[in-house]
Amino acid sequence: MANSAIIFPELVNGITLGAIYALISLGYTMVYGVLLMINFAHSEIVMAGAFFGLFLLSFFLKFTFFQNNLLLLLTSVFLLSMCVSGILGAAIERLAYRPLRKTNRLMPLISAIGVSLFLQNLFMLTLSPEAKPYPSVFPAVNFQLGAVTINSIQIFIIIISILFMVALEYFVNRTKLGVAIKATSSDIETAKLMGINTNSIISLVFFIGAALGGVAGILVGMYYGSIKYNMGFTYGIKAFTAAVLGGIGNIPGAMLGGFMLGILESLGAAYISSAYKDVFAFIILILVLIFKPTGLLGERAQDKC
Amino acid sequence: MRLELRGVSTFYGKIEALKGVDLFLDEGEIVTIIGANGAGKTTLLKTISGILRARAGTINFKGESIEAYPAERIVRMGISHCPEGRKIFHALSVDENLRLGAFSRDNKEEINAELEDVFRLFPVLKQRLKQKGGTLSGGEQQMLAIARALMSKPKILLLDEPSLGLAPKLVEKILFETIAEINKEGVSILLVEQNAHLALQIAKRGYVLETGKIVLCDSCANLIKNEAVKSAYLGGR
Ligand SMILES: Nc1ncnc2c1ncn2[C@@H]1O[C@H](COP(=O)(O)OP(=O)(O)O)[C@@H](O)[C@H]1O
Ligand SMILES: [Mg+2]
Repeated sequence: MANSAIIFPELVNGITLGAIYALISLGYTMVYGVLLMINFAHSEIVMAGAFFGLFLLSFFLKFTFFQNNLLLLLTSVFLLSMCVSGILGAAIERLAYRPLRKTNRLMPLISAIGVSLFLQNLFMLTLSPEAKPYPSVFPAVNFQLGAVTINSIQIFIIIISILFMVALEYFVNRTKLGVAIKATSSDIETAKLMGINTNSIISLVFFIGAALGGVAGILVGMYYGSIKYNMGFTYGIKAFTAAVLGGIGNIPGAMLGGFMLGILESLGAAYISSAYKDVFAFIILILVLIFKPTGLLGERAQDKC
Repeated sequence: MRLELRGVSTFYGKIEALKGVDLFLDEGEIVTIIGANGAGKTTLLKTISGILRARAGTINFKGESIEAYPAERIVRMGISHCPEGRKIFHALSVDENLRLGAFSRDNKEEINAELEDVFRLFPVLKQRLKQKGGTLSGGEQQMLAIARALMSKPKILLLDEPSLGLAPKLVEKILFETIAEINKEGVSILLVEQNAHLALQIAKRGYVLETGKIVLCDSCANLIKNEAVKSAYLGGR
């Protein structure tokens, strides 16, 4: 039987991974919201974002100025890589999905799988088929909170993720553009009648989703200390599960789903076996699809009428 | 500022839903389009507002050919489309719905002034501002839909079956009076209605649409007397 010595580290690990899943799942859910399409290339954005972060980190770390100023280093790396990932995400939509929008619904999906394979191979061939080490920018210090041990990187990942999620919630609910995103997700034709340029909104959604996915990629690199061209798949499938669990199309649902999946996985690892850890996500995905296809917070059916 | 359609044809795939429609709406007019279910009335309004593309023909407004313009540009030019079935954003508040109607405008003060204007037409909306659109009654949703369409300060309002699913009393008293009032304030109105009786009373001219073609176009006074119109759309009286 598992005891707290096993559960707590797994739980902290689960929450950390959950934060990463949540960030990634926002990209799936927002894109689904506006286009009713699953963006299979999103997992490769996570991978690409990790590499963009790696280049930027390696570059900035050449300057003593940045070496001595952690906050500035991290801010620059995150913001710049978010821009690059965001542009990549928006460009994929523009080039690979938009021309196919008027065809049947399967075509963009196939195109997305194509983009995914293309990006994986591109990064493998131009960079490396091997894992690349990720520079550690701050020391892993352990903190003791009662019976729970948490390290500085875990704290950093959880805080960064929550920060971006709060910012996204604010943007979507409190700004004119954000409300236009919600309108476009609930009824694209009526959104057009409001004078909303829905193509711009779709580009914006891809940009935001990819920027957040890129951040998640960097966080993965920092957490595990290495990244690889095929790293996107596992995170993609788990974040997708998180999005379905929370109710696909629903932004708070994706956040909730991400954390829940991370926690459930860690409990499964502690109580059953860590060897089965990756299987839990699939079991949860199947259970949700069978018993509650709209997910925990999903209400798209009502939303649409 | 006449809106004029010449030979407009619109297709759904291979199906020709509009077959060379000629139609105009002069400044300040209320013009109605009557026709059976499936005649193409909604298709016509969607083609004007840029939701659907005409495959042939021209649409002129303010001296420009607007038939290839995207929908958001047509809204900016002053044509606002209040769609069939109201299409309220259920999960958004009444306030958010209304402000979305003003999406094409930037001046905060003007938008707030516009809000006060629509509250004068529909006082009930002011009490419902924070409520979600989906929680309103059918009549209130229709008011919200019209109010939202007015938030862009249009020159032309395209109204698609505003009386659909509403209690007859509400329709006669509130809806049609309000439509007349909106028109008095200088908005030209193209009104699609299943309730041909009321539509022909409130409008000046009318068109009869049958399977994608305009088969009749006359003053409403004449249309009401027309035997074919009587038997087909006015319950044969
Ligand atoms: N999305 C669509 N796809 C295919 N055919 C459609 C579509 N919408 C409408 N139609 C067809 O076009 C014709 C006109 O429809 P519509 O404009 O909705 O008529 P009305 O508003 O007068 O009832 C009908 O025959 C209808 O079946
Ligand atoms: Mg119709």
